[in-house]
Amino acid sequence: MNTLVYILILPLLGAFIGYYIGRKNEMKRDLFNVVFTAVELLLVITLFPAIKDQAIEYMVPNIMGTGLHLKVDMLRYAMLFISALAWFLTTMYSTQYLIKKKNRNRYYFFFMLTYAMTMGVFMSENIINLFTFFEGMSLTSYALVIHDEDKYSHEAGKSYLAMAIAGGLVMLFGIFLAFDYTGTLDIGDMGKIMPTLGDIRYVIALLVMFGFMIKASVFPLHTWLPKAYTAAPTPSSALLSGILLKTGLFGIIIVLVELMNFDIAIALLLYCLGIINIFLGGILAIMQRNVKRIIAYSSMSQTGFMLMGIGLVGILGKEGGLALSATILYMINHAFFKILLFMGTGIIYMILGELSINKISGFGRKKYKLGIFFLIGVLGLCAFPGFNGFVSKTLLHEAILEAHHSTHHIFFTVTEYLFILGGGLTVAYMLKLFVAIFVENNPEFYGQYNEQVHKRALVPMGILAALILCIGLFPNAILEPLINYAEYIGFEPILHVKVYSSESILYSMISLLIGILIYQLIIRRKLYVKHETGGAYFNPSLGWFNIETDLFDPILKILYKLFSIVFSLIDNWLLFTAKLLADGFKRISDVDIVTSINREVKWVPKEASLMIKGINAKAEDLKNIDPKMKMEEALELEMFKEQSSKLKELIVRGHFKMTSISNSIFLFGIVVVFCFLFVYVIGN
Amino acid sequence: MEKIIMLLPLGVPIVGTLLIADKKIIKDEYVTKFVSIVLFANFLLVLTSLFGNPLLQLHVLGVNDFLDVYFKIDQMTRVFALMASILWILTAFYAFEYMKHEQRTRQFYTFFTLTLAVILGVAYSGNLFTLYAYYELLTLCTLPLVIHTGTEEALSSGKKYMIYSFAGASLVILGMMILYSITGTMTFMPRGIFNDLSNYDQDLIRFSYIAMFLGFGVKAALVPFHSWLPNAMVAPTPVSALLHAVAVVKSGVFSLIRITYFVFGASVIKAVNVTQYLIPFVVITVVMGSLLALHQDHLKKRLAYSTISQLGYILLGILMLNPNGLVGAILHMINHAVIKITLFFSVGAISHMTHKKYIHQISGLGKKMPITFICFTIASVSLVGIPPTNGFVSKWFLGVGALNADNLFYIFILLLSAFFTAGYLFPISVTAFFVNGKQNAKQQNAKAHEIVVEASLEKEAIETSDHSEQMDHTGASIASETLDPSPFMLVPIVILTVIIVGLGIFPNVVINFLGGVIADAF
Repeated sequence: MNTLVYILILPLLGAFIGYYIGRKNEMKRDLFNVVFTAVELLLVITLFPAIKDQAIEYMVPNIMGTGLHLKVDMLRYAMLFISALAWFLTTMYSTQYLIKKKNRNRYYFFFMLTYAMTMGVFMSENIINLFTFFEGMSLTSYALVIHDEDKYSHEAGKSYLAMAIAGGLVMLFGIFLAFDYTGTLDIGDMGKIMPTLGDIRYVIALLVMFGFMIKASVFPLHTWLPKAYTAAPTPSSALLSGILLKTGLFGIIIVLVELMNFDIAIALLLYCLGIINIFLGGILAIMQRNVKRIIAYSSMSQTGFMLMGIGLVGILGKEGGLALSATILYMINHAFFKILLFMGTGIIYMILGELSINKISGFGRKKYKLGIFFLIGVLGLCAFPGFNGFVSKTLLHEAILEAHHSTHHIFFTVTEYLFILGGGLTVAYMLKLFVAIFVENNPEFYGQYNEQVHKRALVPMGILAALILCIGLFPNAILEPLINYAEYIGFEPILHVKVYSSESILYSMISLLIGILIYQLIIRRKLYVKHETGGAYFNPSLGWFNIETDLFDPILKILYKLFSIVFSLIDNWLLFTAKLLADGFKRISDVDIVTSINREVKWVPKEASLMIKGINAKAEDLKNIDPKMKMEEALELEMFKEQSSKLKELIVRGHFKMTSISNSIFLFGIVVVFCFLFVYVIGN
Repeated sequence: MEKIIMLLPLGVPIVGTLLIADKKIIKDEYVTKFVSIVLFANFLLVLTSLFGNPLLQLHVLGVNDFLDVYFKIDQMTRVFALMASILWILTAFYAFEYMKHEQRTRQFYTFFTLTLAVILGVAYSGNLFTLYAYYELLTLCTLPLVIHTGTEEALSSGKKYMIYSFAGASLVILGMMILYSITGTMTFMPRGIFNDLSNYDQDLIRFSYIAMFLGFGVKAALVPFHSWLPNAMVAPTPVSALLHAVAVVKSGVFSLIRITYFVFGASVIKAVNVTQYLIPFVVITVVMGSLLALHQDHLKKRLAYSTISQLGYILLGILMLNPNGLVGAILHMINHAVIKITLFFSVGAISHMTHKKYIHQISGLGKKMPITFICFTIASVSLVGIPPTNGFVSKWFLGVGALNADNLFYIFILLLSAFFTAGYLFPISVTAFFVNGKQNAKQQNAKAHEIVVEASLEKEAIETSDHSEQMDHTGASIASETLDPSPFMLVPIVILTVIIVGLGIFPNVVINFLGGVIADAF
């Protein structure tokens, strides 16, 4: 056994043990979970010396037919580390957040399962393993998204699950193709063959990326994101945004770097999608009123920055080492400040049960600890100098400049401006959020509820805030291994890395200024309505074109209806024709029988034919009777009637026997003839 | 002696059947015990005759080349016979509990045991004539099971089942006649009985194959001959489970594998270019089954339509005519058997314990029947084809087979249908686990509560009718936390679920076993 396997198996075991303990004692379970995630974090940390300068691999044969192939290099390690840290902190945080919620045991069970699956995603070297963990992660996190079990969360969950499964299947399609063309399932080996294939490699790459792009909420596959983030309990939202989103980006990096060998076309596509994401997410975030939704759209916008980074890696090719380390750093940083912000939001929700900024404005006054932690998260997200976001954004900006220098294309100048403007959007929506919660005056809140903010919730926030500051102030400590990694996997050495320079601070200030301008000119003026008692934000984007409800849903519904109609026709046609034929035959035989009452019928049973004779004779007699009937004759008439009805019954019975046999023979014959004809016609 | 050992598995269940049928020999209270003894004994006999016996082929009764009762054991026999015997035992234990409330259990167990003999006969058959004879017998033996409840609906379903089966059988006969007329032999041979294609009339070969494919396709629920299957849902759950998972539909599939790879041979079918006429049927089967399943609110009906679609996968695999496709088909034959039987058992457990048969009724039930629904969920995940479950493994091989056949369209169909599968199975689990039963079933709960109160007050007044049983069960649901069925029902479900996951994580066990089939077929 190997540390890698332990890292994978521990959370899996923890899920079951925790569930078992939780059935007896919830306190013990909470403690167990915290300790367990801490152990896992320690395990990950002890792995660091081993992977510092190289990648380690481990193979467990026979699992799932192909074997379980694990690999950890610096990229994967960075992801493992932030996952382990995030899970540790959110577990600690959850113990307070969930106190009022139901089904806690189930929540922790899926929480830990998702943990195991996520670790698996980041460690898999075999693409089938990767797919397995990725799908498992989608399914287990579904239970986290819909934990509240109300209508809203079910709607969000439906969206989430449907897109995850569709994404998974499309990805599987890609994996099939990749396997067919390369003959291997190991990502490393695949990457050696893929670039030599023809145009089919683009098909494969796009199909495989599709699933990852859904998780990374890349436009236009982002529709599940705002709903799911808002519906999930806050610790889950934090993980969804902080870690699960990264699995998507991680997958995209794997496809571009390890499978496609920095293909320029894919890179440009990602770069452009990144810009769309920045602006769509940013603008929608500015419009929102629900705090969680603002942060959710912010995640989408930040994904855009990371996508731009990934695109740059491909565009710069062998010189993209800086872009790669900047992107990985961005992913780490984003995890830190986004989880911090979600945790802050969660505390508010825990106390008030409300997240609309119109109702909670001013809540944060005099809550200094919470306010400071939240502010650190905001400043990190806004890339303020001295905070971690600044480091990654500066490096990314450097990379864009580098691309501009090496190509001298106007495209990169334009995108550089867009990049800075995008940073401005970030500042604007975070300013809206922060000012509304922590700065504005609201007579309803005067610093009460302070005792409800527990240490268990604040400590994780504090740790994250400290990390944000550490990375911001001493960027080289974390940059060094990342840059080493870039060189290790074959990028050209990166010569000068200088994070803090007058230039970079200037750019940051420009972004900040743009953000403040947007806040003052647009948010305060256009999105804020003043009343006598104060004011309220409104959200104009509610009536806008919605990709999900206005495009995806109708198309799917129409397709579904169409398919259903066609197939229920097919479902029924054989039955229908059979019934038609049977009815036809029945009618024909009915006609025969009805007319034959007065005739000599050969096939009726002997008894009946005798009776018919008798009745015919009687009928002759009765004709001669005059209308004034005597008693006896009346009686005779009665008997006659009785007999004739009996006869009818007999005939009907005979008829039934005949037709049920004859019908089935006819039917059978017709089927055979049809099949003959069909086979014959086709056979020729 | 060797001959007897080889034939014992085919004979012992018949002897058992005769004993069960007589009230004087086996008393009512011993029926279930006797059935389990017969099944276990037979399982051991099957094992000996498959693996421990040097004799692998036997002419029992040879009138001439055509009328020749001939048994032969090869790897394909082993696969099918083992699958059937194991699932039979699990079903039996499930049925012991399930059938307690049903009428005429003796009749049920009689035909239940008899069908095993027939299924093993199908597996052991060494030529087309024997296979055909057993195939017809199968229809006759399973009919009493289908119409077991004796209601109007059951009778009409039984009639439908008969008509469809015999129509299919007549097509098979047609194909057999043509085949015999051109080849003069019908023995199963590895790689088929045709040596040199140029000696034969290709049109006749084509014709004969299509006739037989459609004929056996009736039992494999090939569209448009599928509509007996959803109707046969009126049978008791163990029967539906068996019909769907093992006995009837899989014997159709098994026969198709036999004729395709052991009578005609993959190379001949490729040469006469016949699959292009059959593929449209199969593709429609796959998509249609899953799409119609989306419309069903009745749990068992939904599973029935799902079976149609999944059988389509298997047929598609058979028609791919390459080793990976065949591995996928056989794997899916096994995996689908395990998965579908689990799903049916779970649904049966639900209706047995709560009398709920529709999806809209089961909201919140997952919390009361956790183990049942967890197994149901795992089986659903597997049927969709999400790793690490066995459903994924077969889907993987089918996909690779499709690529070997250079056909991306097949993969598209497979994945589209998988998406629909998720669409019709996951909502069941979600409704059961996560939808709050209170909102949907507020009234139901209120009623149930009233009933409980009433029941406790006037317990003696309520007579032992079906209705009162229902009350008791709802009462139990509120009184005691869990509603999971008794171990007799639960243990088979759990064992099957373990198999599902086990075969997903370690599929090589089965895949290596299938190596022999592939070696025979190609």
